[in-house]
Amino acid sequence: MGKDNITFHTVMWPAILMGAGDLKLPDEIVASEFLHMEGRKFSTSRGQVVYVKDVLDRYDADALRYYLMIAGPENQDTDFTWSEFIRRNNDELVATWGNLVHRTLVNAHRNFGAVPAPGRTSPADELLLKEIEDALGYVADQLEEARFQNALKHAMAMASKVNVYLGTEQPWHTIKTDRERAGTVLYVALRCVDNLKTMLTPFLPFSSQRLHAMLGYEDVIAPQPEVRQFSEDGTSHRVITGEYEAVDRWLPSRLEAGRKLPPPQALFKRLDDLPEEEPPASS
Amino acid sequence: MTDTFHQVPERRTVLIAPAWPYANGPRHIGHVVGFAVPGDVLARFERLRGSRVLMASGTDEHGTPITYEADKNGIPPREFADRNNALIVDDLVRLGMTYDIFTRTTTANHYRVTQDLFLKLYEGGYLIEKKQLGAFDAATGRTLPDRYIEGKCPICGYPEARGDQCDNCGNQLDPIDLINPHQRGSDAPVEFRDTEHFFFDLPAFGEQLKAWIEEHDDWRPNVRKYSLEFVRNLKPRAITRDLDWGVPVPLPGWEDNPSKKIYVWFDAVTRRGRSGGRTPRAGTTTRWAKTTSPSTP
Repeated sequence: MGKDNITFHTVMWPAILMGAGDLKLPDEIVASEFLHMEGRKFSTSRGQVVYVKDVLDRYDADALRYYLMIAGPENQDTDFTWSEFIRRNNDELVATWGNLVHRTLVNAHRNFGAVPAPGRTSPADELLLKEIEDALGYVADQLEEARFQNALKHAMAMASKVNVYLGTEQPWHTIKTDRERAGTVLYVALRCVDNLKTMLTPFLPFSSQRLHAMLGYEDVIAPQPEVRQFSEDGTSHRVITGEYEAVDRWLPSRLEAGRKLPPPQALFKRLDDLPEEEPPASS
Repeated sequence: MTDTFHQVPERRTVLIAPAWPYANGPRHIGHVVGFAVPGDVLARFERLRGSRVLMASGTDEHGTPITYEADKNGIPPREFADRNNALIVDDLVRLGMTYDIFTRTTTANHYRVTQDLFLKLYEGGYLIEKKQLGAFDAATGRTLPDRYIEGKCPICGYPEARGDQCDNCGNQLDPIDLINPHQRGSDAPVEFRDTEHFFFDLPAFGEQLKAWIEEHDDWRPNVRKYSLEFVRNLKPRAITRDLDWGVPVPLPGWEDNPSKKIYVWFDAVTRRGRSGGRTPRAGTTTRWAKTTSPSTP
């Protein structure tokens, strides 16, 4: 909820619960500050507004979810700008996370067609795997405290780290001289990608589900809602609901060697810069 | 930092109760950054680590901003709310919002729960009946909600101040304060006469609320700060109003009065307690009510 709603949750509603009898009061109340647009307040009457529908008609839901969670008004008012939306999509989703996924999967698929069997791992390999597994714990702690930006930034920083690892190890070169070492590096990178996928699934459910399949899994980790007609007392209305199983999936990746990998596809789309005078998606 | 992140000792149950979007139009990204996406991130995270989650919300459809817009569009409030509910539902599904139930405040179930809670407060002696001046259309006798009335602001002199507040100086107003009050969009006169209303005795909970908020030093600073300031100066708050669009007041003499309804703030805040009522996941109410740890992103 926005900060304008706070006292309804911390005063009115608890007072009603106290007055109505012995009912459990809320444990945690999370409020955000306000999002502005290009330096001004959102205003429907002045047309200073970006509707959800208009964004989703043009861009993927994950691009919007990512922007809102990483740059949204979690602790202070923030400003939405189209140029920043595009920059974060291109520099962070495409160039950092998307690129890591792409070069890991393309090289593993092209050279092995499956998750390669690791040979002897180096101390650097082990260190990276440990750091990524620790990140699962850290991100969980942050999410538990509703510190979304800390959680997301940490996951993205780890993705950068794995990119650096790949840049140093260069398995696409090593493959020509030392197939076993290249396989080990790609195995380590795949495990890292699998762990990062878990951390990013709450934020980026659509692309994470696609990545899950690209890693050779067949189950659902990011279920999606659906609309159903619901009847009560002789009338009927539409509700959003879904089948979302509670599953113990927040666990270190145990990606087993030999698992077939389907041909990978790009996770995110690069967005073109917009002409200044023509912002999209406002009406 | 914990190293036991993957060992949830027992299957936790978590109620996530995000704010309910108001159905007076399609939602913009400044809305969903507050009421939608953070709640979904939490719900998905909790399910991924094995918690049983219930995330419940819906469109908030009563109140004068909706009747006003509906009147402007020449359609009944219900039709106007239907239209916006459909738009909001579509947006939320496309955003991937995994509500277990996203419903509406215009369902029979919501009416029942709101009225039950109203009666509990009434029986507990926390509702005070008081007379106040209400505004009416002199010609038809219809009640006029605050924002249907305009006049000159008594504080800054702005000629088009609304009955509830002046958009020029930002002060909260009462329609009776306006100079030369008339109906919005016409010159039709406004008549003021006594009208009975119930007020919720918030000051009765002042000490208890203060203690409860102070206890929660883990909340975000903005939440604590606003709340503690607010409880310092509590006043009884009107819980009914003169309006024909809303939940009926469940008391003899009130129930059948078409122009008295429960105030939208009470009806809207009540939804937080009704998660899992008669929903597609029927039968979970009591279990959730006893075991959840609610959070309200």
